[in-house]
Amino acid sequence: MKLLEIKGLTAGYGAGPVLKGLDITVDEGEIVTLLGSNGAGKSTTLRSLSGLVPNITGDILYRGQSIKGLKPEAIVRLGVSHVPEGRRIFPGLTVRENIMLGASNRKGLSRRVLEGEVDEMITHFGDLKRLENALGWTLSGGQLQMVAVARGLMAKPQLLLLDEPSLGLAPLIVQQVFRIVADIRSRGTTVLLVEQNANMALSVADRGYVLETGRLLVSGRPEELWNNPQVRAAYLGGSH
Amino acid sequence: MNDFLQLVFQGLGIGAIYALVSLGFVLLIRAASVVNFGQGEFSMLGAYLLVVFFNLWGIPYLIGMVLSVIIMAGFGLIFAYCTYWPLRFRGGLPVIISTIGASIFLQNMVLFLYGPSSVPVDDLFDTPGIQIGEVFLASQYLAIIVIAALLVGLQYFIFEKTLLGKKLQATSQDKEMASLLGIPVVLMIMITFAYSSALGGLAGMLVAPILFVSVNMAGIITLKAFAANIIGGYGSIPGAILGGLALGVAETLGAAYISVPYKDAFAFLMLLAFLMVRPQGLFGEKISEKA
Amino acid sequence: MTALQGPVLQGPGANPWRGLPAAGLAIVVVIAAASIAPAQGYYLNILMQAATYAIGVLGLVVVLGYCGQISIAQAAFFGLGAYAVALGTVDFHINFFVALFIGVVISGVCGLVLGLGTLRLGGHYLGMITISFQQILTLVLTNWIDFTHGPDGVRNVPRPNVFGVSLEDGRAYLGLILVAAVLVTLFVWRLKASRLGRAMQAVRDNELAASTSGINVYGTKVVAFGISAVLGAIGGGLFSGGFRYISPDQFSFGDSIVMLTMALLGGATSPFGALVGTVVLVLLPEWLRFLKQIYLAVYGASVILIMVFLPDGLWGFVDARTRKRVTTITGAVPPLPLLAQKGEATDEAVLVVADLAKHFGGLKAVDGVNLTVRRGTVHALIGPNGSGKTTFINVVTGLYEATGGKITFVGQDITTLAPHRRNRAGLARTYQNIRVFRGMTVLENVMIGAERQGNDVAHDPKAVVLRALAALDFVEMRGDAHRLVGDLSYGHQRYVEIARALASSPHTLLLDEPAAGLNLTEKVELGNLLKRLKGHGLTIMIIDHDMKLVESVADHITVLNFGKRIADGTPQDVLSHPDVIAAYLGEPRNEAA
Repeated sequence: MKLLEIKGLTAGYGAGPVLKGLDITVDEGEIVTLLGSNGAGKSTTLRSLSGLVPNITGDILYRGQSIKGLKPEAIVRLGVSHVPEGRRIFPGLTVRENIMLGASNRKGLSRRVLEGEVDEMITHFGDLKRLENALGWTLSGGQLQMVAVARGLMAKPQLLLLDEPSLGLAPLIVQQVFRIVADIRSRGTTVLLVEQNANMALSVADRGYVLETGRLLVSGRPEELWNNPQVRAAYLGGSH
Repeated sequence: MNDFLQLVFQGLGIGAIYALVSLGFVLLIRAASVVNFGQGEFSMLGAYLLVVFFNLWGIPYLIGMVLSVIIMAGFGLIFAYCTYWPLRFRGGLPVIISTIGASIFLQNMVLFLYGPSSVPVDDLFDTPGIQIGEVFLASQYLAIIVIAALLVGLQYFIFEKTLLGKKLQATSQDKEMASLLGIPVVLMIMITFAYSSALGGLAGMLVAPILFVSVNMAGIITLKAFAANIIGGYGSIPGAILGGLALGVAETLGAAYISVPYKDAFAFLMLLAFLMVRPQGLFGEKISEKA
Repeated sequence: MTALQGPVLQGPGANPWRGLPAAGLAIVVVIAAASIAPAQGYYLNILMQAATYAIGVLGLVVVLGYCGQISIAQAAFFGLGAYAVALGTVDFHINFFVALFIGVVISGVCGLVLGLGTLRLGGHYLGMITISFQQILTLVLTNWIDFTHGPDGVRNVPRPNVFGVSLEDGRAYLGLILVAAVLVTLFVWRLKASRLGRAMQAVRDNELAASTSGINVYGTKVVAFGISAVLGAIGGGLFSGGFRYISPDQFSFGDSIVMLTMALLGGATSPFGALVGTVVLVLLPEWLRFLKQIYLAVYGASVILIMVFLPDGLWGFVDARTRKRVTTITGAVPPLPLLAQKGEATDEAVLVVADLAKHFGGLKAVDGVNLTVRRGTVHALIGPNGSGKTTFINVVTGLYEATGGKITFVGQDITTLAPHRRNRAGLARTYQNIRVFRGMTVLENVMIGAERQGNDVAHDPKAVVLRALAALDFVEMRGDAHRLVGDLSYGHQRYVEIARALASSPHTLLLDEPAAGLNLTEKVELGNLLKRLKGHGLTIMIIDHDMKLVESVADHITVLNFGKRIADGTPQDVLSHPDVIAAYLGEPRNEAA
């Protein structure tokens, strides 16, 4: 079943469009990855989906309904949670407070239930327990990413948008992050993943789209992309 | 010695006013990253509203105060809509300049409507005060100190203990991220402006019987509140309170024992001393930058 | 240098006579204008006010527009100049210009003292201290009646003679003021494209990057603030002679705010913006006089409207619509001298770090690390996030003070040197989250590197441009030389950062996660660029998580974990070390990252 359908999406920030007529679909329960170089429009796609890009044409259907033009607050209430590039952890709040605010989209949640869910989430990401009361700005890159994902999951999303979760992380942590991504899907959440680390992204994804200067270059299953010479040369670091 | 205690009490009363205005100031810095140079005008407008309601229209004092606070909260929204909203994505300086523009505008509108002379206002209570030993606790000063303490407690509770407070802080630290989490960012900012304006207005009404009501009361209050904020630690709530109190006591004592004409200089000398010796203020800044 | 061609010479800072003809013309025009101005009365006063304020506001362009420091005491410096002239001529019977000079010196000294006290601290502290200074000065002017005449002010300030010609006539004196305004404008405009001006803008855009690019950040800020204080006093001194009567309320906090507004309204990054802003704000109240009592209220509202509708100020609005497209600089330039050298890796120790420690409170970010980097090698520093790699680089480059240990660079103990001094010794770096000077062009960014003190081309403006172009050629970005660096993509900003470092002819280059945010193909390109740098004697230290990149370029690897060294040696040994696999790599020899 189609969860998300992007039709002819054109979007940008003033100096010409970044996306030029993009079509993408994501089925329920999939991990779909967007690949491409800097400036190809991967992050802009995610930002358009969550309502951060003001002027867009084309259409975005979520569960068959258009979400184009909705405010970010409204979109996240529908169950689309965005973990943006750079993690964006609130620097002056503690890890616990950051994670707690992840549930801001859910109405009528009692404080007691919320605290319970936060405890559960913190326990789930084992490392976070000892950092619970640390302020955001004191965390290292890997820790920030864990908190960002945990915070994104507190929204109980049906669709999780993950922007470059492996950026700047050590290999060991990258492996951990991708294990978490696979785990999120196995628990029923659909994931749209933007990555520079194409190897890792394709290893967990069901399908991938390769973007080039705001347009779709090619899409397909991981092995199809692996075997596409054009994709290999441009994004996978040449032949292997 | 008794003179001294008397002066300290008076200083605390004035300091509580600085603290209240400074609280509104800090709130806007923390929730919307806005340095509002029109903060003192909130106090001036609040005081003038009281003059209109009580002195001119004869509405009972307390009802007049409540009405004024409500109107000031609404005024905060208009203020935000004109000075902050159009410039919200443009960084700190443009907003500072537009709040300066607003401050010029408001002062001159009031000057146009009510003229330059100071207007006296009655005290909040009819009883002049309580005598304890040889120290006389004037009722207006007592009221200021008690109300300030209550509001400070309330604000601390909201910011540190409630989810609303956390959402306000999140909004101040990263508006876009806050909106991605489903926090109604616009509402958060509007709440802050409304509260900050009401708080400023209330401070103006409380100080009105002591300083009298005039257009010029705004400027000096803004600057003292600003100084209190820095002495306490930029953007810190407990800092704003302690800074305000310290400033009030220092300048009252300074005026009594050293020099009356240079009364206002003590606040700024204290500020200079802090900047040179302990620039992070009493409570320091919460967030530092990682290289 | 035979490759020098016409277009290249038009680079910023290349022409010492730039702007002089225009200034000469402007002087003729303003003198002509002054001669037809009314000899006295209201309009003469308006013109004098505009011209003298403009000089003060130009000071704000330097400190705020160029250097990014907020000063809210320009009216105080203006007042110091005004009072020096008024008291000097009236009470002490000193020559006008001598009195003006005294005022300038006093104001400059006050500026330096205030600056020296606060400019070590970042951000808003200067703004705060200037507010205090402003208030205190107003109180002193009002209350020290024996000396300043108090609130009554000083009357009958005389006007000077110049070369025996009396400027007692209003028009003649206006001519003097206008000529001064033109000269100050020229100075401020030329300053922007000078080495000092670029340093100020670099400080404004990114203090840390400025310091590790050889700029004395503190010194630059103090100088900028000093210049603004001096210009304020010049404006004020001339104002005093123009109006012949001054009082404390003319130099109040409110007036400082007005000057600040003038600068921002016009566009603080350009001297012409300051002129436009000053003239508009001096005239605006006059135009609004027909509104009678509420004209100041309308003035306040206009300030808000202008801020809302003209984001870059009035001049920014005009400039954006009239700016000519700058053509690319063509013509060959000599390549980076580095590439002409030959230098194989040697055993000579370039950077020796002994027992280095950096503690933040209880957190031991770097905890007794020993490390030796040898000349001509590529030395990689790897480890988990939070293991102390970036902190290590920050301590080595001087952004953090070491808690303990010793850093020796080319035989010199640099443990306690300021960052810019280390850069001048030949230590250049890039940053994990790119630090470029966003308000400046690509070429200007790289010129900052080229003109670092101690570089061979530093004292020749033309050669600086050529060196910067050569560095841009190396990263293949010459085509973007005149674009604002803030408009470039992330990957290209990274190359600008590397070019900036290379243009400074560094001895050792520290790269902090250069491959972060690049896709696999771009990473290969970066690897190729690093390989091109190898074998020329340049020593490179690199931090990165991309093991393919590290493996393909590194001669030597050091691994940190929890601030301690856990492995050190050749890539083969280190990457198969069990501790390294357990703490960092995870699954042995995976294809990740």
